[in-house]
Formats: sequence, C-alpha cells, structure tokens
Amino acid sequence: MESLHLTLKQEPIAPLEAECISPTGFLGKSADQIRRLPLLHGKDRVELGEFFDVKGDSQAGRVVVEGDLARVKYLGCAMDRGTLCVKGPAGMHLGERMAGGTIEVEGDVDDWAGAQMTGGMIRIRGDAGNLAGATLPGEKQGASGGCIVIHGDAGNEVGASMSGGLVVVAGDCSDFAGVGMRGGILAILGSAGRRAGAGMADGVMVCIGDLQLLPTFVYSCTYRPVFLRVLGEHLRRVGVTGMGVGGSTPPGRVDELYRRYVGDANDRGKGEILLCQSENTA
Amino acid sequence: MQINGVRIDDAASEAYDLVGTRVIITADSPELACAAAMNFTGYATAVAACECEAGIEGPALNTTTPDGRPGVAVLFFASTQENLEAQLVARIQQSVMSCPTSACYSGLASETQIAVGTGLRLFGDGWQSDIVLEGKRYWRIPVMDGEFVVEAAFGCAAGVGGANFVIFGEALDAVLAAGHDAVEAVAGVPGVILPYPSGMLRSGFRLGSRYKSAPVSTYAPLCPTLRGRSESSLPDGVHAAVQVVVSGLGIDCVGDALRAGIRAACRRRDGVAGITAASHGGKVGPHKVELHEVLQLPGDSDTLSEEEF
Repeated sequence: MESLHLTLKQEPIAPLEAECISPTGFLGKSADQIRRLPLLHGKDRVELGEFFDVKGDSQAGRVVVEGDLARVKYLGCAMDRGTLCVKGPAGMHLGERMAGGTIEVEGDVDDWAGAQMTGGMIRIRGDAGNLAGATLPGEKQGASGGCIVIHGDAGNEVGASMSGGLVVVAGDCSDFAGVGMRGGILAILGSAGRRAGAGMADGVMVCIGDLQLLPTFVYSCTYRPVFLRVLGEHLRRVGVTGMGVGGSTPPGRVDELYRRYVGDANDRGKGEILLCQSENTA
Repeated sequence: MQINGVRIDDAASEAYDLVGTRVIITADSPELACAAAMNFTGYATAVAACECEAGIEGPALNTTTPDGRPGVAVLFFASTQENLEAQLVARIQQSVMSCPTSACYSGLASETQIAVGTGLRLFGDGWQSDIVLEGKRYWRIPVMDGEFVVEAAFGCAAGVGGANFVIFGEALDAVLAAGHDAVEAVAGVPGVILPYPSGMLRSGFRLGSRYKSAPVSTYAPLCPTLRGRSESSLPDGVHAAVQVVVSGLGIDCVGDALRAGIRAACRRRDGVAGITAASHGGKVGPHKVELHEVLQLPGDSDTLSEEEF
C-alpha cells in the first residue's frame, strides 16, 4: 500500500510537539509542503524536515513514522481519518482528541494516549503511561467514543472520567483505574491497582484479575453477563483473545461467572464493576 | 413448458411490497433460541391478517452471532416501516425477552434503521443501561435471570411477499410429497421465508366474499370439492392442490426461491399433474412473477428432461 514514511533523523533533546503528524494533518499536502510544516522543539519553532526524512505519498491516507519517538508528542492528535503507524515508542498525547481513523503503535506510549478521543481506534502493542483515554487537565470529560487497545500494562488513572468508548488493557493497571468514569467500558484483562472506580458515576469496568474494591461499591449478584459475550466477540475481532469465546486461546473468559458491584456510592452510583469470580475469590 | 414431465402453466403470481428485517435470536442453547424464534414467528402468515409476516430463515451459527452463542435467523416483514417497528417491539417483548437467556440482534446491515431496542428499553423502567461497541448500541434490560440484551437499531430493507406457485396432482399424498420437496429446496435459498405452517398453504384465497364481514374467501377454482358447482381451474383427474407462498428480501431472491421450489416439486413426477400460480387480477400487489421467466430453461427449450433435471 502506498504510504508516507517519516523517519526520525535525530533524537530531539527537548519534547518535540508534532500535532501535524497525522493523515489529517498531511491531507492534500505534497512531500515538500510536509517537510515545511511547523513543529515545536522545546520553545523553538522548527520545520518537520529538520527532524524527519520524508518519503512517499500521503494521498492513500497512510502515514508511517519510525524511530525513537518517546519525546515526540501529539502524534495523531485530532486525526479523523486514515492510518498512522508508529514504529517505535511514542511520546505523550498520542491520538489526543482523535475522532476517526486508526493508530497502530509498535512500542510503548507515554501519558494521555487517546485522551478525550471521540472516535477511531488506537492499538498500543507495548505499555501505556498514565491517563490513557482520560481527561485533560482542566477538562471534565475523558474519552467519549472510539476504542483504545493496550496489549501491555497501563499506568495510573486509565480511563479517568471517560464518558463513552472502550478502553481495553490486556495487562495490569496501576492505581485509580476508571476514576470518575461517566460512561463507556473499561476492560482490564489483568489486575487493577488501588482505588479502582473511585468516584465512578456510570459506565462499566470489567476486571479479570485482582481488584481491591472500595467499600462504596455494593454487591448485586453473580451471573454470566450476555453483553460480555458481545464485548468478547468484539475484542476477538480487534485481536484481543484474553476474553474470547470458549475454545479460544487462552480459554475464554466470557463463559465464566462474574460478581457485579454497583457504585461509587459517593457519587451517582450507577457505575458497575464486574469481577471474574474464578480470579477474585475474596 | 415441462420439467421432468410435469406441466408448468404459463401463469404469474402477484407479489406485494413489504418492509423487512433479519432478527438474530440467540440463547444459551439452540433449543431455547429455537423456542423463542418459534414463538416470535407464530401467527405471522400474512400482513393483511396478522400485521406481519415472519419465518425462520435458518440457524445462525455461533461463529456468526454477535454474542458467539447458538442462534436462529428470522426474517420479519410488515407493510410499512412504522408497522414493522411496532410489531417487532411487541413481539420481541412478549416472545423473545420472555425466553430465558435470550438476546436479540439486528442481522441486516442497512442505512435505513428502526428503533427496536430503543422502544424495548422502556421495559427497564429506568434501570436499563446501554453499551456502545463499533458504533452499535446495545440495551441491557434487567430481567429475572440477569439481563436481556437487545440491539438498539435494526436495519431494514425493501421486501416482497405473496409470490407463490401451486402444485396440483392426482392424490393428496403425491402433492404433499412434492410440496415437502419444494419447501426443503426453498429453505436453502437465503433471504426468503415460507410464512405458512409447514411452508404450504391449503387455504388459498380470493379477495372479497359473498359475506360483507369477510374480506377474503376460499379460492374456489382450486378447490377440488367445488368441481361441478363452481368454475374449476383444476384439470380432470386432479384431486388436490397446495400453494407454496414465499416472502423475501427482494424480488430476485424470491424468484430464486420459486425456481428452486418448482424444480424440486417436479423431482418426483408420480402423481404431480402440474404447477400453476394463483393470481388476483393485480389487486394484491404490483409485482408479477412469471413462472416461465423465473425457471430460465436453457436456450429456447421449453422442456427440461429428466437427465437435464
């Protein structure tokens, strides 16, 4: 497939803010025009061509960025179409306020991945930092749509204040997962840290591994939620097998019993935490 | 025209416009899914009498259902989009939601959608909740075995109903055997249903009656017991007839179904005298399905021999 290739020439010594690097930002631009797009290196305004080799054509809507991009921020920010492939680690604010398209990252990603996203899909093959799919400082609402799949672990406050969409963490989460959730689904296939679901007003958190519940969550029942099967089928289609249907590898989790808790009673209390019975025996 | 020695009349059946959807009903076991589907499609033979037409299209494999459980695909038709929505909401509530472990999803991708789950959610009395996956909203309605999950919007598309052919023969046994073969063949065609019990209709009708309160009445020309008292369309020696009525998602698949059904009905020619179609002078619907046209015999031939068959 025809695509535009950006290769990092030199590692930035300060954070490089590259909001324009996305299929949306490159739409209708030639390679020369793309090389002249402005980036912010620390406090200095620089041209994209100073840090990246640019080859190929962006018309097909596929952009590939290669290199150690751990200090490159805002990759795929506000993108609404196309595919962005990041081959290497990515910096903060990847896919922030994203509305459509797909971001594939073959590495770890720093904080605020997919923060306040409204649509599209982010797949992170490595670990994610803090606040994936969460809200930005000073804002009230986190992700309201789209899907974030983290194949590794996630940091603190994953899905904080999210109001819609789906965040899947195939590994473990640190503290305050789903804090202040207003909607959407946060699926943790590993374990969650302390105070998961604190201030949860609505939405669903599913946890396969250990989760220390706050006392402000109330037990409802133990059952097999049918909607988890729909979720499991969806996850299977997006390449996450840890919750797949029976017969998949690892064994499907959707056939198991789940303990349902509602809360947080300190807030509206319409949130829901589903704990896999076989993994949470406490 | 003849197929395997069975006469095919140069006749056409009428078909009327419908609006339809495909409903996927799943449950923990195939038996429960089937029980819900059977109840859901009960008393749904003709829109004129039942407000809807419905039938089981076939099993939905657990690899294809949205929740990975065994299921049944049902085609459901009504005369208008509004009627379709109202009938679906009422029937899913009474016949599917009531069945333990069941769930209900749209099985038709279409830009035209009706708010089925959105209507059903009110049963939750404020306790319902929803999830959105891949742009599709699913309502979760609390019920006594957990939750009933139903997709919010169902895709709908234009359909046709009433297309038919009539098998007539020397004895009822032969006609029924040919009818069963036809029904089996039609069941293998995707996008169509046979809304009548066993797929066959013996009470073919005409519009109108000598009684003011009866909108339809028996189709006398095809009733063997009325031969001698009323004008009969049945040839001499014919003592029974059954009609196979097909509804489907478009005139093309209905044509495919009629072709498959007629050819199957001609397989065992013993006792089958011929195939015709019931027509109502254009009063039932705007579509005409010509039997000779749908059969598409090769070249200019008007006969399909046993070998070709």
